[in-house]
Amino acid sequence: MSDELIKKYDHWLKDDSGVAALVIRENLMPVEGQDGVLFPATFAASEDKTFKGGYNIDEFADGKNVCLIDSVGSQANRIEPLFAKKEYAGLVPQIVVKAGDKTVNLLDAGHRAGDAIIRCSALQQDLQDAFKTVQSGDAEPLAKVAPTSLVFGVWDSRDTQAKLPRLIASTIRAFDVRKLTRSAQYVPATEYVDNGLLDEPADKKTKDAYAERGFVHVPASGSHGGVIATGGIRRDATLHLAALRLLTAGDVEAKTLALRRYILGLAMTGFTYSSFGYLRQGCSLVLDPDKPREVREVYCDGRREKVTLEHGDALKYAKAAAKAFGIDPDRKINHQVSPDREVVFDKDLAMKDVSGDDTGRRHQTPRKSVKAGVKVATEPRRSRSGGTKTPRRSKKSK
Amino acid sequence: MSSHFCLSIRFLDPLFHGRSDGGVPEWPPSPLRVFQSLVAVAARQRVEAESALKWLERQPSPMLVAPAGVTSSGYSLSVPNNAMDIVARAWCRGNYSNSGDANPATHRTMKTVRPTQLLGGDAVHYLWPMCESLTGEVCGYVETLSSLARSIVALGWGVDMAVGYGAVVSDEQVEALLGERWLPGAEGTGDGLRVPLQGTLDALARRHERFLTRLKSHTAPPPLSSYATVEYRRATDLPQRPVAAFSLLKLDARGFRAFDTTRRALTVAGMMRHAAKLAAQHAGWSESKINAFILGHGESKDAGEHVAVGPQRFAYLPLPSIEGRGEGKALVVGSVRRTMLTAFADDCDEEIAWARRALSGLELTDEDKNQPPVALLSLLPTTDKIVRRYTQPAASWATVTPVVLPGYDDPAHYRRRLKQGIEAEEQKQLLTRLNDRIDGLLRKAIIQAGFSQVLADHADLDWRKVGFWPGADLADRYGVPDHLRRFPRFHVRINWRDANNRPIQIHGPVCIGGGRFCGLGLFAALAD
Repeated sequence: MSDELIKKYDHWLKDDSGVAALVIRENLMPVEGQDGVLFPATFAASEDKTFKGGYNIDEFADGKNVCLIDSVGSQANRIEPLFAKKEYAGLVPQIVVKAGDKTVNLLDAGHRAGDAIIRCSALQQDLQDAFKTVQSGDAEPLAKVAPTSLVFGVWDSRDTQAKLPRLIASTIRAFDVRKLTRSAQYVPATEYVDNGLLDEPADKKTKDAYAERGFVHVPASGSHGGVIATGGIRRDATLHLAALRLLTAGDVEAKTLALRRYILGLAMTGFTYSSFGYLRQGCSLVLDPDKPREVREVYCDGRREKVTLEHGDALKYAKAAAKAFGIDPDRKINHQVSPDREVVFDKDLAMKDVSGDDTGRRHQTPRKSVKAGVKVATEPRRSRSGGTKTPRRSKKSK
Repeated sequence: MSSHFCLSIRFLDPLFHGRSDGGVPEWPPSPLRVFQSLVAVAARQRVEAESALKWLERQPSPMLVAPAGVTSSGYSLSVPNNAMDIVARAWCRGNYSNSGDANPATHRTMKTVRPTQLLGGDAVHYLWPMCESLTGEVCGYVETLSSLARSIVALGWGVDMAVGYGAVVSDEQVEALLGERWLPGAEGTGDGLRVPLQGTLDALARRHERFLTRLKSHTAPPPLSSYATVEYRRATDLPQRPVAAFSLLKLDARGFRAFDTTRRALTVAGMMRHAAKLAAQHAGWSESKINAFILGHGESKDAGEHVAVGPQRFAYLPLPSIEGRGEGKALVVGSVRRTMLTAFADDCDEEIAWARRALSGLELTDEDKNQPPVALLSLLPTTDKIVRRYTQPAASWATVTPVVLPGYDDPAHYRRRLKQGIEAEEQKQLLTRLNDRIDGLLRKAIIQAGFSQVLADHADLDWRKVGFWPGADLADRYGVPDHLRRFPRFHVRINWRDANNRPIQIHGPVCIGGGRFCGLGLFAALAD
């Protein structure tokens, strides 16, 4: 391991560093070309119905507008699974929970180390202890089990209430968009009713059922037809160094430095990862070759200075920092050998967790659920802010 | 030269998701949020900052400099409940149907997001005036707070990543800061910003303790209550005027006593003025104060010529009802059933509070005609639906009574020339000049009513004889005081704009022009 490499970014990790954050601005364009049509994420209507659903386009008094292409939550969902990919998997402990025939990787758990599925496994005690040590100023144990929880943020909402802020955020937006609509006509394979294959629908309910099943012609008009971004498309990503510097491994400076280097390596790897490309049907983005990518250091006083940071360099640094932290990035992943693990979901623990007391009697607090009939947004796939709901009352079994 | 402790919060993405009470987007972010973020940093870093934070909570409310904030359209996200244990249990039972409990997508909830977009900047500056001299102790506090500020992570929601910076700055440096100036006003207003006060730090510590044990105790921690709510307004805004609103009741108080807006509104204003005079005499006000503050006379009783007293006087504003009529319930201007008393100057709070106490329950009598009382005044809360229509913040307003221009709109007799059959080009020029003249007079009226030059310069104005509100009568048909009869009057619609021509919400009452002290030129907020 090169000593120079591991110390390369130490100036960002010292408590007295003036650099508060790193930001990336990447100018993107649709694969079809600058004037190509792209399909932004669609969102459900707001509760007060002031937003009727569809694309999120904010209009301004000067006639300009901004369209959200991929939100913070959605971008995090594209970046975090990176650490399950072959080239990156060694950077973090690979922990899976086995439930029946299914397995859930910790990297896919919606609430990361604070997720209920993890808490109802053999990892329960380890994680409870880890969260407690975080509260007392030592994040090292949590970093040994679930380091991405330190990178993307976590809230142990169902137990210790430990909260850690996210270190990286990324968003893709299009500027000055022109909204398009499209119309289409569904034509069935044959005339089912005319040819006597089906009875004439007797009522509206049957008629609707025929339409739903594709037995009749169905016109669709004025549906979302994508947008043309006349003002460009941009990915803005942020790595919050000041938040990273809040991480300590107790009072031991050397351990704190090793922890911060490791988390910085992971954060930089995710931060510099090109989380665009194929976002959804009709939305494939590439870098704009005419506008170079910008990386800047943001100082606490607002100064912004250029800095060079490539994904390859970040990955090299991450591997070196992981090794120094005690996680061999080049190991062969084996869930039976530490730091990787496979743990079994424990139904009894889950029963106790769900129940309000050790008797297994459940509290009457209703759980939130998706309203019937609400069209679920196409984006994000799963938002993992780590603290978006009021936890159900639960009592940790001893 | 005075100095300020400046705490700058720079948003890394120019969005802010924080909300105030009732889920309403909050802008600018309240000083309490910044205080809480400093407390959070101190707790995370385990540094001794108690004295510095307690010093900060004792300071007067800070001035804010912030970029313009535009509330964006809200949207809903589908977010997962922390309930994968239920899914996993279903899997363990061999239920892989991907429906009901076995489907992770079932355990989701909708979350509405409505961020405020920051325009023309990314930094919000909180400026605490350094009232005391910079002693070693104060310097130490400032240093501690500046050090904490450098570790601020977010302000608002978790996605509102921000960096902080603290320093002592001079007046010149404050002057150079870019953004809208937000000045603290009176405490205790309902829709102000939260500000820390002595005891907030201890209350936060107690609340955090309760938060950590909420699952064991099965009770949510009580909301923080140890803070002040302070009215904040932009330097370009008028301070929110205190008002005393009354309903006009029949003498037996069995219902409203309605007065025709076109013909009788002026009479109602006159009767209010008379009732206020009697009440003030009864309360022992000096004659000169009654003469000036209540009657609006700067001259002595025997003097022949009227001398204006300026804005330090009561304005009597009869309020026509804005009521929904017809199938679609379109809003229409109706009769006068309420009245409001205010002043277009600062520092009249005491007099308005007195009017609220003294006028409620009084009878309205026509002073000149020596007739029996015609209505009874009954105090109304400012939350009354009709009163709110005249006081709520809004960007678009239109008159319910015409504006009397503060001057002649046609001193060069253009209208006379227009009737003489002139060329089209000349006709166009004369009409443009007439329009410019009226436009200038309306902007003059806006300034005379106490609004800033910026607002007057950038207001988007429309005027005409026909009302903009359905139910409003032709401008010339309204009763006006004799001394204003010779001045032209128009119905006016104003869309308020800031220096960057962005819509800006202004609190009412908005009343401009020559007859503003008796309710002429009164505007009602158009639907937002």
